[in-house]
Amino acid sequence: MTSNLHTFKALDIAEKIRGNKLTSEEVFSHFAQRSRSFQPKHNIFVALCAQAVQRTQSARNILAGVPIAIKDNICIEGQEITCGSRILKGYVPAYDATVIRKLKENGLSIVGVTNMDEFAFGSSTETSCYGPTLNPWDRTRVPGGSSGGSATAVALGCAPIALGSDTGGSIRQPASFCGVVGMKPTYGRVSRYGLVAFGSSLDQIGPFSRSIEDCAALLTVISGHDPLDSTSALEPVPDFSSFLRDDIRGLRVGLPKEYFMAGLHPQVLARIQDVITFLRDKGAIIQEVSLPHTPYAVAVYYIIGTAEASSNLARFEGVKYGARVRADNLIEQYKKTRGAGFGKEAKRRILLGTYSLSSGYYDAYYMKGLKVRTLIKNDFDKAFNDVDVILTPTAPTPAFRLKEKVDDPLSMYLSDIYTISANLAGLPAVSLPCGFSDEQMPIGVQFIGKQFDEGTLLRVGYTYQKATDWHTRFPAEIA
Amino acid sequence: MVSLYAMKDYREIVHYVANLARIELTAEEEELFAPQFQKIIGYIDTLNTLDTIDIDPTFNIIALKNVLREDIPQKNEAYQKIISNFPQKDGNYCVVPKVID
Amino acid sequence: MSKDYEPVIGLEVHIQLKTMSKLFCSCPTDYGAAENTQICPVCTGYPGSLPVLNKGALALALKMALGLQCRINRKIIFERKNYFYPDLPKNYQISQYALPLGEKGFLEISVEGIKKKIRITRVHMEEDAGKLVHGEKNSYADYNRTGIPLAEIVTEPDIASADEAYAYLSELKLLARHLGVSECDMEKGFLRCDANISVRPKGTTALGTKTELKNINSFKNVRDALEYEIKRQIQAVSDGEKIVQSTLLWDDKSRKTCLMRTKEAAHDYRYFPDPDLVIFEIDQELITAVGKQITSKPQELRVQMQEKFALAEKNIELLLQDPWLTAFFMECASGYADYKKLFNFISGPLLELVNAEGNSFLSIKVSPAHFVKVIQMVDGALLNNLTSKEVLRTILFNDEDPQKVAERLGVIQVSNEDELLAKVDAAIKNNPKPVSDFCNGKEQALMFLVGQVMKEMKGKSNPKVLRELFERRIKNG
Repeated sequence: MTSNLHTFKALDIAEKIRGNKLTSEEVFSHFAQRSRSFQPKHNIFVALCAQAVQRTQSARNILAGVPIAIKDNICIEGQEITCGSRILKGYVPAYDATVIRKLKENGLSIVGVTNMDEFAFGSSTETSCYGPTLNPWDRTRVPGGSSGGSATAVALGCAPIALGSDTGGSIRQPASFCGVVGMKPTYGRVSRYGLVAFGSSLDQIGPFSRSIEDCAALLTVISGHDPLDSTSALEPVPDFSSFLRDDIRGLRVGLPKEYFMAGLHPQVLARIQDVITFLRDKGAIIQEVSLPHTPYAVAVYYIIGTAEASSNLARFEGVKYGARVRADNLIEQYKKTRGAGFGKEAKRRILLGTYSLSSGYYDAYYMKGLKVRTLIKNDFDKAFNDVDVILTPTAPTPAFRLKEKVDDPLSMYLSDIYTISANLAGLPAVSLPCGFSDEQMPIGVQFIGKQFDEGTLLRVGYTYQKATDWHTRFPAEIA
Repeated sequence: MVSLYAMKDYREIVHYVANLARIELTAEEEELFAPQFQKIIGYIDTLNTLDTIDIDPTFNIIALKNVLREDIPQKNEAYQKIISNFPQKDGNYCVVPKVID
Repeated sequence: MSKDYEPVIGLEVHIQLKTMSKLFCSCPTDYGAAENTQICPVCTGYPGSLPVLNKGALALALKMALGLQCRINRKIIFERKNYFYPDLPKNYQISQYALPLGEKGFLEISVEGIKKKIRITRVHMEEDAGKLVHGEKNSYADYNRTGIPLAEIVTEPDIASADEAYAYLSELKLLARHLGVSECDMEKGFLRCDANISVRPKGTTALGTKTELKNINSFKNVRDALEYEIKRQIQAVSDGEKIVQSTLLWDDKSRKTCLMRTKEAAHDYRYFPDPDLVIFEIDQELITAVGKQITSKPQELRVQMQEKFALAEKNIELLLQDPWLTAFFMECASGYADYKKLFNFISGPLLELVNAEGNSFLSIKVSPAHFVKVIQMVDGALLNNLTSKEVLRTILFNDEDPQKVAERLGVIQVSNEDELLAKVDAAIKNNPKPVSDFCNGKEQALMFLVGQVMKEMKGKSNPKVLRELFERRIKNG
């Protein structure tokens, strides 16, 4: 009865455990077994965990007993964390991230730590020091990134749910490339305490799942104000499952005209049009909106994200923890440690961020970026006067091939065009599987909501998944 | 005194910024990064076509202010783990090559 | 020293704010803890850790800024100052740059009776760095101090002599202590001072090339270092040399300034608003609330003490040295009107006892009422100078009624003539030589006789009464 356990929703698995039809050990070992078997082919995990004794045996959470995969940039006390970087090799956090504490308190068990682009710098999981994760549907392609390991783990059924982090699309784009659900909550919804920072003003932790119900359940577990995170919102946390209604009559859905331009893959466009048709049939009101500053979003994102990253990553120099390349002279030790510890993309971004903060350039780049960020946020505020939710493709193309963009950083950056604005404006956004390309690669549709209105995204997602089965499909197991 | 602002050559810029960021680059990396830097900065420079004189910068994207904590001390037992993580230590001290200004 | 040049000095002072916990984390701030035991993931820059501002630190910094008459910025932000240094675990310091807490204040100082306002450029909050101990080959980092809250107070270049700098620091320390903002103990590093110094021909306004003097560890050394550096610069300029922009250190042993570094490439600190923190709005309500706590500024206390108690200036300054002392005097004075005598009793026996016991004022338990009662008992001839000190010693750290203590110790002074007469007569009988000496006009001999009785009665007889009795009995005898 447990051989197809990975096809079940996390919620159903937890229910079976509660009903004593399964033990959490049986569940864990099923997923651990699948993880071990897919690991050699897809390089999903950087570490597989033994099942921890559940801290709260009495946890009655609806996800209690469910295994979860965690991206390698979220601190788990006692578990080596590297963020996919050589510079952190051997570093063991002295504390649990707030989200990890919440998972443990609610009785979830960590099945493994997932591969990622180094420090989340990337859209393909190719910049990891552990080598690339391979797409679950086609091993010649990337799984997207930077949370490529978490997306792949869920797509292959190595874990029913996973956590990733999203700074410019790092949950949603791999969700789209791997055919699973991925949500970036509103900035401040989920505590960042214990998430190794990339761009502090953009980063959010969020859930991966197959079904929108699991997404809602996991979101409920990890959300909430955290006194340890000054940027954590005071907003009350609803039971997100309460939004799961099959009813979008009268819902106003906006299509930003700037997103449906050149560069959008025709098959992606076709699948998105199918979604639009479906929503219209279900009673939604579809209308065009304008986000006029969209063409500047990538530039703003790369100024702010790299500037913050250059400062956030200054602490990695081998003095207090992590790998150290010894030298007689301190400055040489810094340079050698960081020169050897960071990969090319990390170096590129740190240098770019350092440059844009330098005296003489601060106003032209960083301050300018903060101002254009205001304009981008204003665009959304204006659009949300007219619509309840915005629909876009998650990515301009299905998963691209390994190494296709690795030597052209700008073209890699531009592939984030549809996802980064939600980070700049602090908005919640979700990617749902909405079909396949001719080459049988998954395609994702993105819904962007108002700040703290994850509920509407869940309602749309639920309505859509009720009528479709894209999210239940598994890749034919690849030899 | 060298000023970044006066630099035109991207290889020189990359070299200067790498020193500020305390990252040793190989000659090949400098060679690789210089044109990429030029291309990316050229792209970012498109922002200059926007007039933002009257626009306020966004410091916090969600409406939050005055997030404070009470002044209550609490000794953190993690200090032992932090000490044990020092790559080089002497007693409780974290050891680094001598600092020379 | 050439009379044709004048020094121009600006000071940057860091004071440690007197909080229980650090600026952005809950680690305790206890002084003298074993190295690296008051640290946590936040103050050691652990990946994923985040800062949350200490409410108490904000209030104290605001109090200081208000005490310095600063204009308070209604919106403040914290910024990251980026530079690599092993005492700075994140390799950036959370500080304030564009929007500091306070700007454009002043502090009035007085040098040899001449008053002068020193303008304050800014007051801002920042976190302290750790402590580095340097060995032969290595340096050793202790992060206990990392993240301790500091207020940085920067002056305009208004200071024109080493004495003025000394006076400024003294007054700043008094203010901070009376506001309860900082202990300003320089030995413990609670107050640190850097100075920018240049010289220029008198009568000109352009600033000369400055040197920056760092890490001066006592008030006296601030004065000595500045005097030395001023002389050195004037000598150099008089000899036609150029001053090189540089950072200097004061060498305590050789009593000289020495070169730390010349200005290399300008520091590029890459300040930017810390995205881990939010904007802070300092509203009128907070300003009023904190302003209300400012009850005793040294400037006002001086006037008050002058007017109410008519104490000499140097006596007032002595009382102002410690806020506890000031408050204790004031409270005692509300129950005892001979202020001069009260002052003498405080500056004499009280300070003597406190210093002898090596105790701080904070450990003193005696209530002003009981302290006053001791003086009143002296006035009422129940205690003399000797016994009053004994009583005071007993009750200083253990507040008790001095009357009861004096009785218990058996030191209530005997002034009753009948009781003393027999002792006096006995002393006259047993000491014929001093008696005859006294009769022959040797006043000293009388003191000896009084002393004999005092000794016998263990100090509790009234020497004044004894003297009278001796005189009377010998003359009449």
